[in-house]
Amino acid sequence: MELKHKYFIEKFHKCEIVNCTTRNREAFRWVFQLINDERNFIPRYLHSCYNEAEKNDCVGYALSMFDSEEQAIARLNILSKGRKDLYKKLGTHIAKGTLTINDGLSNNSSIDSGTSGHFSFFEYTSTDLSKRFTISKQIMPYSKN
Amino acid sequence: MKNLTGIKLKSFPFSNLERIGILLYPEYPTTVLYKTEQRSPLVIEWVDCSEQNIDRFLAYECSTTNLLQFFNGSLSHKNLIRSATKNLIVSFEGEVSSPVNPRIVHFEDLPIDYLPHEDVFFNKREAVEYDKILRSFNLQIEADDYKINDAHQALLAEPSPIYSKRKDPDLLS
Repeated sequence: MELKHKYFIEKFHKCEIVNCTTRNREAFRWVFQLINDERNFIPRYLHSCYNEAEKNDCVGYALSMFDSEEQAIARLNILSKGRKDLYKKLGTHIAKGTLTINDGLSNNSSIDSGTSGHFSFFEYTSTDLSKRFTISKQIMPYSKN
Repeated sequence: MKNLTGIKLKSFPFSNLERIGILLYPEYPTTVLYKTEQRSPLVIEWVDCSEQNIDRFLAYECSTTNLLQFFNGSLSHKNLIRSATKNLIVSFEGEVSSPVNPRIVHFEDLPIDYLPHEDVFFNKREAVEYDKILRSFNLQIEADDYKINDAHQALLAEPSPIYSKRKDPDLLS
């Protein structure tokens, strides 16, 4: 099966994808309120905020996922301490889905304390995660006391 | 977007900027380093965006000394902004290449949500193009300097109390 962003990924001499495999796994991702929001399943390097010279890691063409809802929230909490409104760019909700061996390749989850449970997911061309993920929780904006 | 008070400018005061690289964060470029015409560091921070997806940024020059102190963990991110050269912080909207609505804003008038939390210090693991930025400004961090970061990293690993179940039970239901 062909990778969705193969055209970009194959330009990298070294790529994390060599450490990725197909596997069935539960996944959680930051998304916006509507599951079919066009922003939900776009790799970050396809956003206009990156210059071409800054696209120096092939995982920028993968999707960030987490093993659990709690870990996804924990990472957003860390980022929010640095920039409170970053959720406006990353997502207001958590979506849950199951990735299968027919959907793409993923690496092992991070065990680093700041990114625990995070993994990168490279989609296959035919994969449409908006049809496979469902909103599980709203996380932002929070109500101030 | 949040309301922002400041002195309106006719034009963006920083021209011919050279983009050096993204400092923070891997998930989204919130903090990007530039070089001014005078070759000094200029930091542009993404802080907000409207429902129409118009971005707002803060731009401020900083000294290489302060940048080094930020990198070695002795200056917090909030204080890096607070110590902007000549206390000059400029907000603008749109894009760096074509900034609109430039304003001089005072640090004290910045919405609290535009500033990093008090205990946020530089964490090398969160940096994107750190080495490139160091080289560009000829900065050298001694190995011992990173010891300060370890304590700060432990703080960063803790969840923010704002989002804890105890404070926002409805949010996490």
